[in-house]
Amino acid sequence: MGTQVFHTLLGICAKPTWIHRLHVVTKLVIVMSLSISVIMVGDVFSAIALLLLSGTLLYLSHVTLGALRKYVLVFIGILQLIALSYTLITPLPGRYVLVDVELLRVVAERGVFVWRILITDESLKYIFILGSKFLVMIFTAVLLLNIVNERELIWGLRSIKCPYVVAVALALVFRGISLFINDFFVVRDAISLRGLSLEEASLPGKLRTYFYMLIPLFVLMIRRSYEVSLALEARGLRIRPGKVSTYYRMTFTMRDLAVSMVFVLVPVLFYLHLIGFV
Amino acid sequence: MGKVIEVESLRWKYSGRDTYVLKDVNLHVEKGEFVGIVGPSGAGKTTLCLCFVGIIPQRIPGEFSGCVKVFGRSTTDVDTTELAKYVGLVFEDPETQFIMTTVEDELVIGLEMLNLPPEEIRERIRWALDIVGLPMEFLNRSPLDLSGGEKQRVAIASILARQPRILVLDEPTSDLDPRDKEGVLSAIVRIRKELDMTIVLVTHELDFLLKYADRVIVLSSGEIICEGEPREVFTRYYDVLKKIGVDVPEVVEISRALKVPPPRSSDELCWLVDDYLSKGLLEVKEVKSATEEITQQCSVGNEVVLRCVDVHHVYPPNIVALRGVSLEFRKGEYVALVGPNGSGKTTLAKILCGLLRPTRGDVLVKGVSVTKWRKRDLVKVVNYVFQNPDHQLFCRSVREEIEFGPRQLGLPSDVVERRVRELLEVFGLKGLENEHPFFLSKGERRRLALAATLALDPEVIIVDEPTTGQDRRTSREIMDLLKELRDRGHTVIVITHDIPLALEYVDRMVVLCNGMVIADGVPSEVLSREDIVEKAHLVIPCAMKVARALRKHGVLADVITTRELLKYLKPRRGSEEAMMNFPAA
Repeated sequence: MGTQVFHTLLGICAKPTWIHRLHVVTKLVIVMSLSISVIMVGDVFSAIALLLLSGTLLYLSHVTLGALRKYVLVFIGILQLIALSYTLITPLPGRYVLVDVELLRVVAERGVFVWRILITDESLKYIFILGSKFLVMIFTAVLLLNIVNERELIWGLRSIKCPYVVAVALALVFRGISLFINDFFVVRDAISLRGLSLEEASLPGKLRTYFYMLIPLFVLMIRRSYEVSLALEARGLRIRPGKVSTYYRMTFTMRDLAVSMVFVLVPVLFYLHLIGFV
Repeated sequence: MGKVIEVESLRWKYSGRDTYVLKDVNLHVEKGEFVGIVGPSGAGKTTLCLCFVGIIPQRIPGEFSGCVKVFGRSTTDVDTTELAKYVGLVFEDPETQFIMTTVEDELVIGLEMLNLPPEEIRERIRWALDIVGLPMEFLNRSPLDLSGGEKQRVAIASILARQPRILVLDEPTSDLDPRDKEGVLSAIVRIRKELDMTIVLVTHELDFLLKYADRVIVLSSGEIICEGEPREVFTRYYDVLKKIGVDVPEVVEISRALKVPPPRSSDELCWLVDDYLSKGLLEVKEVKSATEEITQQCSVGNEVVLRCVDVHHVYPPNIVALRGVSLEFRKGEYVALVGPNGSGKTTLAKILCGLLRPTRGDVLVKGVSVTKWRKRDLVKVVNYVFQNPDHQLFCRSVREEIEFGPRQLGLPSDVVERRVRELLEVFGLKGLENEHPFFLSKGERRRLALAATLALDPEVIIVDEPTTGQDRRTSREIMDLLKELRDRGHTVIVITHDIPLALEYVDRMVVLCNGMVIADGVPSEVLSREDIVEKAHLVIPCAMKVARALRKHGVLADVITTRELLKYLKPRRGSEEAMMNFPAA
């Protein structure tokens, strides 16, 4: 089984596991379950539980740390914003004050405005919960890209009686993405060899370079579309194909049913915990 | 035998174009026949193939007259999807033909259209893969992860699985290394042998046609110039073919010069030369060896401009492309960088010009590490021309494209103007100054990409596959231009699979295999090592094979090209009558 989307977008290919072999609907249930559970997280315990669950799923689906490396900077950026908002913009009072630094004090007729850095146990708790939620979302996105491949989406569409031409168009979109990414890097290199380097250019220079890059990318897209359309014609594919047979039959096994049921229960449990029932 | 394809007075002009691409073409193909179509670039070969499946005139707008019949039915009366059941068309670039994400899906999609039951689809997939020589393990692989030859074989299998009665292949081997080429061609031979299918092959692989084709049709400027049995066409129409820019196979070239009957393969030629020498019909002359000549011309004492020191490169996640490459390139060298697909040639080229950084090791440009050079300065010393010209043309006119680099470097207007004028002249682009690059032919676009890079006047120029998909005349023109640059003191490094052509020009050959340099030296010495030839998927030129056969007669000819061989061997006077004479054209 290929995990081409994952490979295309992240450059990493995980080895197929039992999770990869599940029915596409089951996989989507897992991903949906994690996404909904994120909304239900309200305390440190549930944040840790969800983090552990999503992390375990990544581990079980053999996602390497290399795949997550690309998101480290994004996560650090988001975490910084969360930390700033809970300590500098709207500080949260708590039982224990760890840091309290006054930055600005304005005394006016009607009162005093104080702007301070306030770090309390409560602000740390909220930073952790919100940070964990973002991390779970990143884990879920990586998991989705890893366990669901284009092929399943295409054959999934076929299995729900979606028109043949839509499935083929979707396949071509996936092919187009990988070709476009590849072309983008080659064109960028080609332009830099003509003395217009993105790294050394100023901001207007960078914009100008991107404009130049659009021309070959556009030309390549037109040429490729023309060639692909000829190839489709030569293989007898048409918009209304008439009667076509179906080679793949996706089966929903007992294992799929069991896994789906477990993951349907997950957000329910988190919700019950949120309202104090569990 | 009945006629399966009949073309009568076919004329075709693409919409918006002034000239006809096909002009009064008349031809027929018999059932079970293997027909080769040859001709220079722009002769109308691909257009003719599109006519066989009805895409022209049904899907492409233009002016059509005449008649194309497949199994007696006009292609204008039957829909292309119906015709596709009988005629399978394989295109030049396999990548553009792939629609799906696995090999299995790629084969399945064409079969589902035929409304076949799953069991039969499975059986046909197995059968098609077997015919093209690919194992069933390939089914789950992405077509994009395959080698060039494997991709093309998958493309053929996906057409073959539909079991068409006619297989049309449009230059299926143009982008492949010799080993991959062999794989695809042997698949075609197998299809022919086992299925008795009618095959129409458009190719520049004339040696293959000579050996296997029943008939060759020569097309030039949209007209059929000549047709017939391959040996007859290549011998009888030798001058005509040369004139329109089509090379004849090397075996025919040699046999013609030695006045021996035209053979079908290099082995047959070796046998004939051996026989003629024994009968005293050929004479051998002692001349200066090729290696000696090259050593004399060689730039051994010149300044080293580029030096790789133990260069390693690893692509993420862990794909090793280069493993400890150490090389030196001197001023005024003309070097061929050869090796199988995926051996690391392009990676090395990109590292040499600073596009990629080595994972380990260093590249010294004029003694300074490539990492210490500013990009703007480096492009004036080392530059690289990409394989696909469409990646590097981004201006609105030919003139603007050539001017772009020098203007970026801030050169004075009069210098820029002079360079543009010179390059337009040298690259045959004069008169096209104001044309948009998008509307140039592929050969012209390639020349423009080369001219645009040379406008920066780099001391070292690396050219990736400059002759791919070009006819012989254009290929020679490009190689001649590069030779001229070498003569002016530039260092030229050419990445190529076209060994016979490269041998006529280069004075050094570097062989890469699995990311390592396995040979580096004078071409004749490199090719004389059988282990290197085998490992690097190289082909031994016909002239070299004949030279080896001469050793039996005590002649140690150090020969790699036909021209060199013919310095050693001459027909003895009065032996002309021994030649199998085809009447002159």
